[in-house]
Amino acid sequence: MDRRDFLRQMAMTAASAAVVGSVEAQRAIVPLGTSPRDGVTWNKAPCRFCGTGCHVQVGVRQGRIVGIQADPLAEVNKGHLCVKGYHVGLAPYGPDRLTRPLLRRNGEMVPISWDQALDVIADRIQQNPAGFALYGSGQWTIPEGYAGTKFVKGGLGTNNIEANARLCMSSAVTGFLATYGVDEPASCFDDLDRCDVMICWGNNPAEMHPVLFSRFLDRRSRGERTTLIDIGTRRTRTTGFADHYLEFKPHTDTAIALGIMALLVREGTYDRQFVERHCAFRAPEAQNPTLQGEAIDFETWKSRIAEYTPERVQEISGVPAREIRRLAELFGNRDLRIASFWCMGMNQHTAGTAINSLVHGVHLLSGHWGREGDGPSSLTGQPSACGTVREVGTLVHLLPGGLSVAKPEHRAAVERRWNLPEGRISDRIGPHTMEMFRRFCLPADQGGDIDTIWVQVTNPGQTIPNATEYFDRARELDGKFLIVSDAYPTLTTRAADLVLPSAMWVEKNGMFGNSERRTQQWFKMIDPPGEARDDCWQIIAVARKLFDRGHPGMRDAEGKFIFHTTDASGREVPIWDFRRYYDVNVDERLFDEYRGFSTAKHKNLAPYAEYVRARGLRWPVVETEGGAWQETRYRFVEGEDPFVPEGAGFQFYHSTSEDDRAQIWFHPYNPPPEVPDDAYPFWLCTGRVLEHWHSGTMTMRIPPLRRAMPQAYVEMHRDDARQLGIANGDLVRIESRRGHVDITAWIDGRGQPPRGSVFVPFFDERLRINLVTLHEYDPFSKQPDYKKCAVKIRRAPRGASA
Amino acid sequence: MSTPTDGPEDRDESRGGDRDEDRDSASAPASTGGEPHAGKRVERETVGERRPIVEARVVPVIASGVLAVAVIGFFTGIAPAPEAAFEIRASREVASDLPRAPSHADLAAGFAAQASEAAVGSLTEEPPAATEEEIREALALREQRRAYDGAPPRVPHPMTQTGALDCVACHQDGFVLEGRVAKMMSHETYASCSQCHVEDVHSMPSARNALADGPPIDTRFVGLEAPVAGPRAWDGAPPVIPHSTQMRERCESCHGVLAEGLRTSHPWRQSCTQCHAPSAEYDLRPMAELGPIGAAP
Repeated sequence: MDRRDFLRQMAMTAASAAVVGSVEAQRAIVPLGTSPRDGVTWNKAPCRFCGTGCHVQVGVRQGRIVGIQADPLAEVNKGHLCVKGYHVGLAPYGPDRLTRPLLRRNGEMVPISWDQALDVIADRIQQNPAGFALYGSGQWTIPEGYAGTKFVKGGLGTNNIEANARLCMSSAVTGFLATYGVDEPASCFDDLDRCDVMICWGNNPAEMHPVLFSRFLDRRSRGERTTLIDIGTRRTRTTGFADHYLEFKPHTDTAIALGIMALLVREGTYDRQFVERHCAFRAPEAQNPTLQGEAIDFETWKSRIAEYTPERVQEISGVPAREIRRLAELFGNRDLRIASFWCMGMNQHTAGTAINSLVHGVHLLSGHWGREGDGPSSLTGQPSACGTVREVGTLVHLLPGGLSVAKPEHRAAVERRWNLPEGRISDRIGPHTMEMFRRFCLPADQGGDIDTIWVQVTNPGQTIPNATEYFDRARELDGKFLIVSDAYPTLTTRAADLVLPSAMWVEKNGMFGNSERRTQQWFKMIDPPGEARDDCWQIIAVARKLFDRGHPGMRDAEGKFIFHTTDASGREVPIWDFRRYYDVNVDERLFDEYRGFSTAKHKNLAPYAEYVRARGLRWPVVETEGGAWQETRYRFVEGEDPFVPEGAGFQFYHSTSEDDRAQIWFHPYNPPPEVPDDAYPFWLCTGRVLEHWHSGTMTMRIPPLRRAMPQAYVEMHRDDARQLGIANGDLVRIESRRGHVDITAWIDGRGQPPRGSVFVPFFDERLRINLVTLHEYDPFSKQPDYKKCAVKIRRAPRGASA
Repeated sequence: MSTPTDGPEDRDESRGGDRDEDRDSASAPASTGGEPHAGKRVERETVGERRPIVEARVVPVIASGVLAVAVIGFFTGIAPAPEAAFEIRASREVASDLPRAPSHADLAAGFAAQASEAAVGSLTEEPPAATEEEIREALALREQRRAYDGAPPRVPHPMTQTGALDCVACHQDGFVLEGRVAKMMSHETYASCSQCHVEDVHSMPSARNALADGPPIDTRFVGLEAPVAGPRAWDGAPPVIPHSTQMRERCESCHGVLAEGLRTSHPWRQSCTQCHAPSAEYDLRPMAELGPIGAAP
C-alpha cells in the first residue's frame, strides 16, 4: 500500500468516525463478521438490481469481491435472494469494463484524459446551455440524482433533466398524484406477510420481484391459506403458482377495474362508511383533460360507471363475466385482506394514469385500504426510481422533495435552500424523455433544440421505444453530441461522441430508495478499474470546470461554488479533484443537504448516520422523544403515519380536493393507439426475464446468468406457429410499421402467450426489439407503452441472421 | 352330586337336611305322601321360623344343573382336539407350488439393492467417512456448479418449473437412481425454486451464437473457494462448521448417506449442531451488541 492509499484509508476511517460521532456509536456501525478469516470482510449493501431492494452482505478479500450472502438482518428479504442477487458480486468483473474516457475523432474512439473530457463537456454546455440536457436514471444513487438536479436546475438554470424512470414509473406517479395528491406509495412490503388474497395486475413477480413473491408464496407451506389471482395477457411463471388466471385482451385492464367497481356499487357491497368519510370523486374534463381533472359527485360517478356491467367487461376484455363477479365478490367481503400488486403492465400503458387511478379506486371504494395486507401496492422496477428520480425530482417539472417547477413559491423555497439568487430556477418546464430524444433526433431548424445529451447509468440506445426515430436518427445529424457515462460498452456508448468510464455499485458510496419508501445506504468497498470514476464526481467536476471558466450559474448568491464542501475544520475540500473526492463523505454531505427538502411533503428523512446503521428506513422517518428514529409503514393511517392526528382514522392530507379525501376516479375504457389489423395482425409485448436485468449490460456478462438465458427469443402460441409454418427454434421476422428484428422462436418456453400475441424480452443488445416497439405515451405521465403494438410475423427470409 | 357309595335310597338321605324339604323338591320323587307332613312344615314356617333364601324345591334343580355342567365340561376337556382345517408348517418348509420371494438378505446383493433406498441390508454396513480423494472430487464438482461457495448451485439438467412441486418431487428428500444422486435440498423447502436455481446450460432451442458473440463472458471474478476442513480445538474434537449455515441447515444434504464425497463418518447421528458449532466468521446472524435497528446508541 503506498502513501497515498494509506492516507486515503486513514481519511476514510476518520470520515467514517466523523460520520457517526461518538466512539460508542462507532462500535455500533462495525460491520458484521469483521474478524476476517482468509481475509474476507463482509459489509452490507442493497442489491444493484430491482426495486425490491434486498440487502446483501458483500464479501471482499484483498480489494476484490469474492462472495455474496443474503443479509439475514434485512427486513425486506430476511436472508433470501434471487439468482441475480446471488450473482450481483460478479457484476463489476466483466472483462470489457470501460477504463478510460474516449472521444470520437474521425469515427474512431480515442482515449483522452479526464481533464480533456471535462473540457469537452464544458465547451458543449457553454456553446448552447439551453440545448444541453442531462438524462439520468432510476439506478442513479440519491446523491447522484441530487447533484444532477442541483447542477441543472440550480446551476445551469434550465429544467433539462430527465431520467429513465419516465419510461418505468411515471404512470404510477401520476396515479398516486391523481388519487392521493402526492406521489407516495402508501403501503409497504408487510402486506405480503398478511394478505389473504394477492392480485397481480399484469405483472410477473415470480420472475421480476422474486423475493417478494416468495415472501407471499411460502406462507402456504407454513399452513396459511392464501389465494393468488393472476390477471394477465399471457401465461407466465407466476401463472403456474396462481389459483386463478384471468386472461385479458391487451389494454383492457381498465375495463376490468371499472367492472369491479360498477358491480360493487350495483350490489351495494362497497364500503359506504369509508367512501362517505374519506373519498371524493373525480373525472377528466370533457375538453383538454388534465391530471387534476374535475370534481364530480357520487351520483354522476355512478351513472358513468354503470355501463361497465360484467357482460360489457367480458365483451371488451375477454374475461368471463363470472370472473368479474368473483372479483367483485372478493372485494365486497370486508373480512378478506386483499393486496393488489402491479408493475410495468399497468405503467407502460398509454392509459397508465387511468389504470393506476382505477386500481387505487377499486381499493378505496371497497374499503380494502389502510390495513396490513389490505391495499394497492405499486412495485417499482428499478432500485431507486422511488428514492432518486421521484423524490429528488430529477424530472423536467419537479424540484426536490416533491415540489413543482410550476409553482413560484416552490421555486423560491428551493432557491432559498440552495442560497441562490432569486430567479435562478427557471419556470420553463423542459422536454420530457420522449420529447427530449425526439428533438435530439431532429435538426435545429426543425424544432431540434436539444443538441447535447449527457446520459448516465442507463442505455436509451437499447431501451427507448421506436429506436430508429428516437435515437438512431441523431447519429445522422451534424451538431448533435452524445456524452455517456457507463461501466460497460453498450449500444448507447457505441453511438456516443464522448464516453466516460464510471464506477458502479460498491465501487463508490451510495444510497438507493426501493419500492416501499425504504432509503438504503452502502459504503464503497472496492476500487473501480482503471480511471473509472463516480458519476457524482463527474457532475461536480463539470460544474467546477464551468465555475473556473466564470459561468455565473455555478456560484450561489454569495459567490461560492454550488458544491462547496468543507472539512471538519471549515476548510474547503476540493472534491472536484478525484484524488481528494473521498477526503470527506460527499454522499453524506449531499444527502444531509437534500434532507432539508424532505419535510415539505412529509417525506421526512433521517440523518445519514441512521441509514448507515440500518438496513434501510421507510420514510417518513421521525425522531421520537427518546432520540430514536422511527420509520413509517403505512401512510395516511392513524397510528402508523406520524402526521395523522389521533382520532382521524385516515387522513389524506395532500388531498387535491383539499378536504383530506382520496379521489376515486372515473376513466372510460378507450382502445389503444395501435391495434392489430390485417397488415399487422399480432400483438407484440416486451418485458424482462428472471436472469437478466434491463438491457443486460451487467447480467449478460455474468456467466451463470448468461448461460441460463443466453439470447432473446420470441414466445408464440403453438397454433400460430403451426399456421405460419414456424417450428420451435426457427428464425422469425417480427416487423412493425417502425422496424423489424429477426429472432429465434421458442414455443412453450418460459411463457405462453395466447393466440394472436407474441412476447420478446428486451435484454439482448443483438436483438434490439425496441426498433419495433411503439413511441405513443400516456397523455399525463408521458410514459410510453412497451406492452402493446401491432406486428406481423413470418419465417425470416433466407440470408437473415439473428 | 351322587357318590359311588350311595345307593338310591341313601341318596335321598345323604342329601341331608330336612327330609321334609326333600319331599317338596322336584328331583326327589315323593317318598312320602300325605299332607300331614306338608302341613307340619307349613305350620312350622308360619309359626315364626326364618324364611329360607332359596325355596327348598328350587335347590335340587340348581344342584342338578351345576352337576350337569360339570359332567359335560369334564368330558369335553379330556376329549381329543379336532382335526385342523389346514396344516401349519414351519416357515422354512415352503410349499413347492408357491413362487419363492427373495428375502431381504438376498436383496442386499443384487441390482435392486442399488436402486432401492430401502435396501435394508445396506444399513448393516456403516458407510465409511469420505476419503480425501472423494472430498476433493466432490468439492471440484461443487465448484463447477457454483459461482462461489454459498452461491445457489446451477441445475445440471434441463428444467422447467410450472408449479411448486416440480422440483420438490426429487429434491425434497433426495433420490438415488443407478448411482446418480438427486441431492436433498440443503435448505428448507421453498416453493419458487427457479428463483435461485437456473439451468447450467440453457434449454432454449437454437440459440445461435448465443455465447460466441454479444457481451463477453470471460469474467474476471474469482469466487470464494469452499472450505476443506473445519478447525478443531484438539485432535479428535468435533470440527467447527467452516462455512455459513445460511441455506445450509440440512447437513445431511451434503454430509449424509446419499451424498457422495462429503460423507460424515457418523450419519446415524441426526443432531449435528449438538457437537459441531457454526462458524463465527461466516455466521452473519445479528450480534447482540448492535441493538435494535434505529435505537439510539
